[in-house]
Amino acid sequence: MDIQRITMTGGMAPVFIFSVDTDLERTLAPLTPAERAVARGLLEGLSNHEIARRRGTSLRTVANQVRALFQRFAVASRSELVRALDGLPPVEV
Amino acid sequence: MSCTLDIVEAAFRLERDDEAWLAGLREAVECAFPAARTVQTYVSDTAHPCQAIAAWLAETYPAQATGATPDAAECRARSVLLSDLLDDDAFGALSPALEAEGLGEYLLVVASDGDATTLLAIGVADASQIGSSRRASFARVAEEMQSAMAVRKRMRRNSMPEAMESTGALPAVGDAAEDDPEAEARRAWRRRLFRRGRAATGGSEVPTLTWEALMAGQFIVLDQVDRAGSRKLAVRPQPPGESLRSLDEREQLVAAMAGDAVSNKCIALELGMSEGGVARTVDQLLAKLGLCNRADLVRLRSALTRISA
Repeated sequence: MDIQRITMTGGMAPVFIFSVDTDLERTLAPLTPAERAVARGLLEGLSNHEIARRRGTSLRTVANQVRALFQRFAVASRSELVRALDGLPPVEV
Repeated sequence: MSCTLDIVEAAFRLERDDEAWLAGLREAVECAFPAARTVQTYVSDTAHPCQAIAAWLAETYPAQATGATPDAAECRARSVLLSDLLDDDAFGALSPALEAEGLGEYLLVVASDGDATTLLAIGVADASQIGSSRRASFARVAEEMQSAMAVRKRMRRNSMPEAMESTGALPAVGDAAEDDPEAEARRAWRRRLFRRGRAATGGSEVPTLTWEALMAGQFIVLDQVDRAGSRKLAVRPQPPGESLRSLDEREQLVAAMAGDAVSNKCIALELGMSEGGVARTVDQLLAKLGLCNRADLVRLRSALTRISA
C-alpha cells in the first residue's frame, strides 16, 4: 500500500490516505478477472457473503474462488492473503 | 438553487444550536475532503439537507476515474479562496457572485472547527459547467486574493466579470518557471496556505505516522467509501484535547501479531491466552483503533512496518 499525506487547509489536520499501489496491480495481474474482484473484496475485509452480494454470484462460487486464491498465494487464512497481496511473506511464529 | 442555499444556512444555524449535528458534518467533511482534491462534480440535492450532504460526501469520493479533474492545488486554491469570503454576511455576498457565474444549482460544503468556519468546497450539479474558462476565473480570483484583503468587497460587486471568461486554461499551480512573476506570486500564496495549515493545528507538530504512534492512540482511522463502493482507510491525527485511546500492553502484543496475519490460535499459544480471550482482545483493539476488520489491521501493519523498515 502507498501512503499519501494530504495537508488540508482551513483548520484541518493532515490526513493520511492508504491507497492501493501499483505493486498490487502487478500482483493481481495473473489472476482471472473474477479472482481479482474477489481478492479486492478480501483486501477490504469483506466476508464471503458480502463479496457474493457485491458480485451477484453465489456464496459457493465465492468460497471456491477464495480457496483458489489461497492456493495460488500459498496461504492458510484471509489475513495471510491480505499480507501476501501487500507483497509480504507469512510470519513464522 | 434555493435548496442548496438551505444547506448552507442550516450549517450556520446548526453551528450555534446543534453541536452534535455539526460534529457529524465536520467528521464527514474531514473524511471526504481529501477526496475532494480530485472531485470536481458536487451534486446538489433537495429534500433533506443533512442527508443530502452525507450522501454526497459518501458518493463523491474519490473520482480519480473521471477524466478532467482539477489537481489538488487547484482544488485547495478554490476552497481557501472561498473560505476567506465566508463569515457573517459573506455568504450573502457570495451567492450573487455564484449566480453571476451561472453555476445554476450548486452545493457548498462547510466545515467548522472551533470558531473558524471554513467553506471547504463549492459544487455544481454538472461538471461541464466548470470548463477551462470557469477554472481560469476561479484561479484569477485566487491570485487576486493573495495581495488584496479587500477581496471581499470586490467579490461582492464584480468579482468574476465576464471578461475573465475569455482567459485561457488555468495555469498549472506550482510548476512554473523561476522568473515568472505570476509563478512567484502563486508560490507566495501557497506559502500562505501552508502557514494557515500550521496555525490550524494549533502550531503543534503533527505526530509522525508510525505503528507505535498508532498504538499509542495518536491517530484515528476513518473509513471511507469511494464511488465504486470500495473501502479505503484514512488515518488522521487525534485532535489535541481529545482523550487518547491508547492500547494497553496486551492489546499491543495481540495487535502486532494479528497485524502480521497470525491466527488467533497461534497468538493464544504464543501469549498463553485462551483463543476466546484473543478474539475478545482483537475486537477491543479494532474498536479502539476505529478499524472494522482484521484485514484493515493487516494492511495498516504491513504498510507502516514497510515504511519504518
